[in-house]
Amino acid sequence: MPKGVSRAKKLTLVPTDLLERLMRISNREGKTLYSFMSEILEQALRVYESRHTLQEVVNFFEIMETQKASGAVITPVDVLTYLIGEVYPSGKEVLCERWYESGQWYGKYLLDRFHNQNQVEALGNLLAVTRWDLNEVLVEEESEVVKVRCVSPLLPLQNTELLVRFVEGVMDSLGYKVKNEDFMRGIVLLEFEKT
Amino acid sequence: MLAAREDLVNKVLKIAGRKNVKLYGMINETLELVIRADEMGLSLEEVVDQYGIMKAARDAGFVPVVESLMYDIVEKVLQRNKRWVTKKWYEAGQWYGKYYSVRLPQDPVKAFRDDICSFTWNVSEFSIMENEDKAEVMVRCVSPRFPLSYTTLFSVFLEGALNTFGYDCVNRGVSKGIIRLRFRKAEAE
Repeated sequence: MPKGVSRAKKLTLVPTDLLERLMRISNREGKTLYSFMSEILEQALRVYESRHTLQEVVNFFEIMETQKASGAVITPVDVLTYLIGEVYPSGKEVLCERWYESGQWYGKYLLDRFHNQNQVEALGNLLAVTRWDLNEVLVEEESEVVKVRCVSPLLPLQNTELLVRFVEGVMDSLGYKVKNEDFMRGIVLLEFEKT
Repeated sequence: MLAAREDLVNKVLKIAGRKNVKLYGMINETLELVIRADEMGLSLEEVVDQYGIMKAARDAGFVPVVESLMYDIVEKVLQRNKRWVTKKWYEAGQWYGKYYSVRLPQDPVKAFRDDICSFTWNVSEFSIMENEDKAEVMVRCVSPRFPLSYTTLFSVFLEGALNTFGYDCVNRGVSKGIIRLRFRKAEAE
C-alpha cells in the first residue's frame, strides 16, 4: 500500500478491562493501540491459517518454558534410543533408578511451578506436549485415583520402561503410590492412588 | 470499542464463521492470550515464533530429554564403547545434514544453523558462521554445563552435518563445554 493511504478501519467490541490492559502494554511498547491491535490480529491469523489455535500455541509455549527451566536438552530421538539401548541390557537397574529419581525431582519442580494449579493435569500437559514421540497421552484423575495411559507403537521396550519409572517418580513426589502397573513395548497403563 | 484494520477483522470474522464462534468471543480470547503472553514477558509474535521453532524440532525428530539423564547416559556409553557411540553421533549429524539439504537445498547451512541455534537453549554461545564466499565455516559453541563427554559427541554431530554440506573439518578444538571447529569447502573430486 502506498504511503499516506490509510487502510479502512472497523470497530470491534472489547471489554473495558481487557482494553485497559492492552492500552498499558501498547503504551509501554510505544505503539498506538491501533497498530498494536493490527499486529495482534496478524499473529492470530498466522496461527489460525496454519490450522492451530492461539490457545494451543500459548499453552505449548508455557509448557516448553517449563521444560527449558527444568533443564531439558533437545536431542535427536534416534541417538537417545541408541544410547539407552546400549546401556540398558547391563545397566537396567541403574537406569531405572536414575529415571525414577529424575521423575521425583521433576514432580517436586511441578509442585513448585504449578503450586496454585492442578499438578496432575500439568503432568498430563507436559507429557502430551513435550513427549511428541508418544501418539497418545491420557492422564485422568478421578476421586483420588490417577490413570496414566501412553501409547507409541515405535517406542522400544527399554524406553517404555524408563518412561514408566519417570512417571512413577513424578507421581511419588505428587503424593501418589502405584496401584496398578502394566506396560509392554509402546504401551503404558498405570494407576496411582493418593498416599 | 476498538478500531482495527478492516481487512484483518474481516479475515478473523471468516475464521470465526468457520469455527462457528462469534467475532466478539474470538477477539476477546485472542486479547486475553496476548495479556497472558505479556505476563510471561513475551509478545504474541515471540510466542508464535517459538511455537514454530519447537514444531520444527518435532518435525526433525528431536525430543526434549532431562539434561542430567542425557549427560549421565552419554558418559556411561562413552566409557564402554567410545568408537561406536562416536560413530552413531556422527551418523546422526549426517542424517540431519541430509534432512536440511532437502528442506532448504539453496542454503542448507542456514536452515541447519537457524534450527540448531534455536534448539540449543542450554548453550550460552552458539554460532555457525560462513565467510563471504562460503568457502569456510566456523562453528563455535560455549556451554559451561556440558561435560566433556557430551561436548565431544555434540562436536561430532556438528561435524557429521557439516561434512554432508560439503565441508571438511580443518581445525578442531574441543574441551569441556567449548567447541571450536573450522571447516573448508571440500575440493570437488
